[in-house]
Amino acid sequence: MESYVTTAIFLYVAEREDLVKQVVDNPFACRVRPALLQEFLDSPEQYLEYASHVVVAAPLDKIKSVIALSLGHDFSIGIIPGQEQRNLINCYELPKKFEDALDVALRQDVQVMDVVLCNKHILAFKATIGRLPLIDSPSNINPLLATFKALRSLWGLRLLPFQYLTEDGKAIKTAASGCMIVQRHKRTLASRLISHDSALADGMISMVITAPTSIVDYFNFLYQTFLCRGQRKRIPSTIGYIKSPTITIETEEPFDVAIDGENLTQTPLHCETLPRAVRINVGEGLRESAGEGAKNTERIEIKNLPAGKELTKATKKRIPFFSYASEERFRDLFVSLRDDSKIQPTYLILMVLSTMLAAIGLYQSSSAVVIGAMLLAPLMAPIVALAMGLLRHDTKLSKSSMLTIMVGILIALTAASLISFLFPHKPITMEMQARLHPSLLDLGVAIVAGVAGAYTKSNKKILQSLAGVSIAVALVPPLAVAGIGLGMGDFSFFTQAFLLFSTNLVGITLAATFTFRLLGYSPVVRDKWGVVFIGILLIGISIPLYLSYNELVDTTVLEKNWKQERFLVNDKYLIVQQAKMVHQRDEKLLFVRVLVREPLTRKDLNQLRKKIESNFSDTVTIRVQVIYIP
Amino acid sequence: MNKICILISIFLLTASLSGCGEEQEKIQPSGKSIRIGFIGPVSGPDKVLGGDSLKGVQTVLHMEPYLSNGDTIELLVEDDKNDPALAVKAFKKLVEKDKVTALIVASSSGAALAINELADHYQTPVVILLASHPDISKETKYVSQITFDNTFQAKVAALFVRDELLLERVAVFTNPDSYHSKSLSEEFIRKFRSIEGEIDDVVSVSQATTDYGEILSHLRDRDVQLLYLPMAVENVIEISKELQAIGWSPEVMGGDGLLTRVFAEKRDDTQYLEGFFATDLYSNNMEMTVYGRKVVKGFHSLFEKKNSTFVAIGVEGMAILMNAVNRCKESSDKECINSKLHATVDFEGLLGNITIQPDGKALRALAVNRIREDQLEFVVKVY
Repeated sequence: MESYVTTAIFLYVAEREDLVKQVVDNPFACRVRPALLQEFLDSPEQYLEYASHVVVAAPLDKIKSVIALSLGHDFSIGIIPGQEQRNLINCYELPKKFEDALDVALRQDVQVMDVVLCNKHILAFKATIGRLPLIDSPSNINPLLATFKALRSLWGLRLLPFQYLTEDGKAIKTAASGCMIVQRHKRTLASRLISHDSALADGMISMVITAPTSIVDYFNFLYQTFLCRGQRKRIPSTIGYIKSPTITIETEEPFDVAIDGENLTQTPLHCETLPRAVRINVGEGLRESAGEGAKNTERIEIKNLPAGKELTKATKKRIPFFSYASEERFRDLFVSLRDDSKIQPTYLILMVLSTMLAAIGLYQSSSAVVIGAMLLAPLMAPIVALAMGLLRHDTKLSKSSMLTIMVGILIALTAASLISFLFPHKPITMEMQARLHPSLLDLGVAIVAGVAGAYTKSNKKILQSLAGVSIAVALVPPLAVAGIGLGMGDFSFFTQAFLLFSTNLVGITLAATFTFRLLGYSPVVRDKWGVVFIGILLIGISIPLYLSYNELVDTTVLEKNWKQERFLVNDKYLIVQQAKMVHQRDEKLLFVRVLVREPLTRKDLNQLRKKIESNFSDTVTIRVQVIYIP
Repeated sequence: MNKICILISIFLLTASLSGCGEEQEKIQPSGKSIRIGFIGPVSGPDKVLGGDSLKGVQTVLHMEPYLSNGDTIELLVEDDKNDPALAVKAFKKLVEKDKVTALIVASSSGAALAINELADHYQTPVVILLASHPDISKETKYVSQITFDNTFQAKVAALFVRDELLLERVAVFTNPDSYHSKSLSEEFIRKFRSIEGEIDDVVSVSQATTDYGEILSHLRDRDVQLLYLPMAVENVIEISKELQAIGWSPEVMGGDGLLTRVFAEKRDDTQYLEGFFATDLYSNNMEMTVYGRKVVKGFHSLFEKKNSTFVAIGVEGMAILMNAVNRCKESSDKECINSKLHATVDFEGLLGNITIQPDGKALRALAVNRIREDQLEFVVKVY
């Protein structure tokens, strides 16, 4: 059962005079004395003798005057919004319908609330400074429209230096595109981001700061914002959040400050809270959620905002495509990469063991053993570290990574050579053959693996996936094959396998460099010459790989097409059942299996050879297997 | 460190780009020209043979406007309507009056056979494009046959039917009035019997025959598994219609150029060839050579028409002739051109290599296709 005030003063402006009769004749047994709002403001005492509850139907600025007056005269306030006053309705969650709004406005159980003053102006729901891409939009905005708005906002977006001072005396220097003080304004994306941490009477001001440090970062923010439809506890990237009883905002140049949509003042802006200063009738929804989950302690969430060296870079020009980050921000990763780049006993032991395992597996032609060696191999880690070193021009990291990789290569080649010496019989198995014809496809694997390696390394949650990456790219087996080639004294064998290893090394390094770049570990590729050098190596390697790829394609097409080849040799019909082209060193071997019904003479075979040879422009050694069919 | 990087980079770039700079030597025009004659049915009922082949020849001349010594080729075209008498007349005119250096003939076997005697008399090299009669280059040393001959074609057809389709009961239709039909059917019968196949019937028909109902019903009753039809297009379509009428669907195999001719002469009747096997020089879905792909582009830059078997053979004939001329010191040296034509080895054609043997016969692959949705769908290639 609701209870209502027994007496009230109804303040109206001339445009809302039509409401007077309905308010006076209200069905809640409340005696109402109507008064023109301006008259009330001129001599409030005269009216307040009659009642200590005021109902207002007026524009927002007039309502704010009444609120200001209430601070010194201790009366409660009910509000009857007009249909067009959507911000006011949203702010206090008031009913849109007059009858319902009157019901709420005359109730006795008013809500005690804080008042926020910004440069002495009362803030009803929000104050904005600078550009606030998207977060100032309604929370129920159509995603397509939001995307369009977001893209439009990107144009010319830049970060500017801001300094925020809190009640506790903390000074936060950062760069931001803008900031927004949010007070009881549930319908914007910004208020949704912090809704779990705001209350009507916590004595705090909540401020959201937007600082997209790159276009990639900005889109990431959009993704996070739209992905999370409900309340969230974590502040998304590019957003900073400050909650304090007072906040002072300083900028290098004065900025206009829009308070509740009107440019009323400029920076520097000092905002303070008058705790529990007013009593206002609010809607049911606001009353129920008032104070839930909110703590009245100062809170500063600025880890997503540029700081230190980043700050100088951030404010220089328009936001870049990729993010930049200080080493402090990714301390754990850099510590891990520095460890990876060093030659440690475990690294040496694992290199020896994995190479031995790979070499034996290759001789056995056992895929399982070779995969075991791939898993054991520690080479991926220094390569990823090298990529980061190149990206950030961290000479120390680059040098130590390169040294570690080179030592690893030497160990692998030596170990594999020694093992090949130990084997009296030196077969060239299928597992070895598979690593003697690197092509552009292998470069593709290396590049994807490089991306995966860098991404995995940068994300602790998926670190276990690094094993899969190691298997995919298989660094040690090609090295082991190269070492076996050295052991056999076969230079061609060595170069082919080493080309595959080099492909992996260069592909991973370059791909990982750019992946780290994309993930925001550096504003630019700092060691440009290092990366250019790796890039040129990549081009250099791509040439033989391209030729090899073409050869692979030709061979595949040939093997497929030859299943439809037939030969008429001295009136004997030969059906090609299978053809396989094998490249052994500089020699091309074509194995052809033919089906025939009649016995073939040497003359027939000679003619067959000539006919086959006429299909090739270069020399091909032909091996024919004849199967007689009934 | 940076300097070393730059030097290595420059070295690698130079090394990688060094292979890209090969420029084809530009031919300087000499201002001279040689005349090449073209004889074929460019009008009349067989105009597709001559018309399409001529387009192939023109495509090559468009792509290679100069011989390697800078001379140009002047092409003189004579229409023989596929008539042996007109072919002979055209030949004499071109050789005696127009003084052509060599001739390209796109007529059928009858007209081609009439010409081959003249070639030796006038000691003028003749490139026969389409005629596949086995005697085309027999007893003459100035004729080169670009297509495979009927002996090879019929043997392959017989062996394919027997060894790949594993069919043993075949009926052969033949038109004794046609050189092409007669030679194909005779060779097929001979070869099929030699490999333990059974020729159930040899049906001799003329081009005017239209009533096939009784013949086909009789063959169906004898459990014939395949009909070999080295026949004119009209006959093949009539037989196919009759097969549908009596509700019988044996395997059917036709000769070279079947689909192309139906396209040209009876466009609305291509449906009657659906599912038929056919031996041919080409296939729609066979892997083309690099030269083949280049020619297709060249052809489409000149003509809007769909390319065909006859266009392709025109291209290959002209290209082989030009290749022979280019290998001679004097581009008008007929003796040299003829000897070089007969010494053509592994010339890259549209779908594979072509060798012209010393006896003037071509050694080239034949495709066995199946006709599906107006296309020659490649089944096997036989060398």
